[in-house]
Amino acid sequence: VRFAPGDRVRVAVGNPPGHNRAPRYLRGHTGVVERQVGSFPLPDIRATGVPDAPLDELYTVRFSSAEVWAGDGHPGDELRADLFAAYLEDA
Amino acid sequence: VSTTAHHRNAELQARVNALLDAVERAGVVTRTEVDERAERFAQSANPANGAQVVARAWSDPGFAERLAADATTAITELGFSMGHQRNIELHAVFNTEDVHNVVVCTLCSCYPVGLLGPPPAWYKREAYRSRVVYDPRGVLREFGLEIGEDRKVSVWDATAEARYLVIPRRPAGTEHLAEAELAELVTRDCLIGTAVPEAPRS
Repeated sequence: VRFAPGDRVRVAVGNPPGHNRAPRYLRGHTGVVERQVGSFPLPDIRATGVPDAPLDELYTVRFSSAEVWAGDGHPGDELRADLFAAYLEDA
Repeated sequence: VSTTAHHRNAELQARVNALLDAVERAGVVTRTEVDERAERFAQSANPANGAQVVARAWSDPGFAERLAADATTAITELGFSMGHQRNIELHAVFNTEDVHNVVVCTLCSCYPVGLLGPPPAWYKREAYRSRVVYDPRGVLREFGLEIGEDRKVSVWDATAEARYLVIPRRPAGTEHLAEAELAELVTRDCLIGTAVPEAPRS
C-alpha cells in the first residue's frame, strides 16, 4: 500500500502518449488521500490490449477548489477524483 | 443533427455492424442474444431504483448506516446490484446541512446506470463536464438550485472504478409519507445532485 488516508499527494504533471485517466485540470495540484477504493488494472496499460494489465492501487483524493482554481474557487468547496497510484507522487 | 454528427453516427453504426457480424460468425454470441440483453438492461436500469434506495435510507437509519459504510452490498438488500459492472464499487454520498454533493465524470459519462437509468444528454456534454468542476455553484444555479454560502459544495469526479450516488436530504413536511411515497419525490437529477427533492404541495 503506497498511500494512507491523510497523506498529501500531488498529481504528476505530464502529457503521456496513449490512454490516461488523470484529469488534466488536476495535474500538478495537491490533494489529500481520503481512502483506497481498491486495486484495479491500470487503464493506461489495459488500453494497449495486453491480456493481463498489472493492478494498481486506486485512491479517492480530495482537493480544495481554492487550491485547484486559486482565487476563482469558492472557499470551502471541494473536488474529489479517483486516481491511480501511478498518477500520484508524495507532496 | 449536423451533417458531421450524422456522418459520425453512420460510421459508428457501420463499425458496430461489422463487429456484430464478426462475433456472430465466430459463434461468440448471436444478434438476438445481444438485442435481448440490451433490452433486459434498458428495462431494469431506471431512476426509480435509485429513488427506492434513497427512500429506504430516509426511513431506516440502520440501512442508511450500512449504505454509508458499503453501498455496493447495501443495495442488494433491495434486490439491486452493480450487475454487469462487476468490479465497480458503489459509494453513497450524503447531502447534509453543511455539504451539497454533485457528481460528474469529466473523462466520459460514468454514473451508476442501473440505479439512475441512461445518462441524460447534458450529463454527457462537455459543457456540464468541464464547467461543474470549476463553477459548480453557477452550474447548479442554472438547474434552479441555489446553494447557500454557509454550505460546502463537493464535486465527485467519477474517473475510475467507483460510481457515486447522491443521497439527498429528506424534505421537511414529509414525516407522514410512506416509503413508496417518499421514493416518488426523488428524481434522477436528485441522484446526480443537480436537483433536490421537494415535499409534495398540499
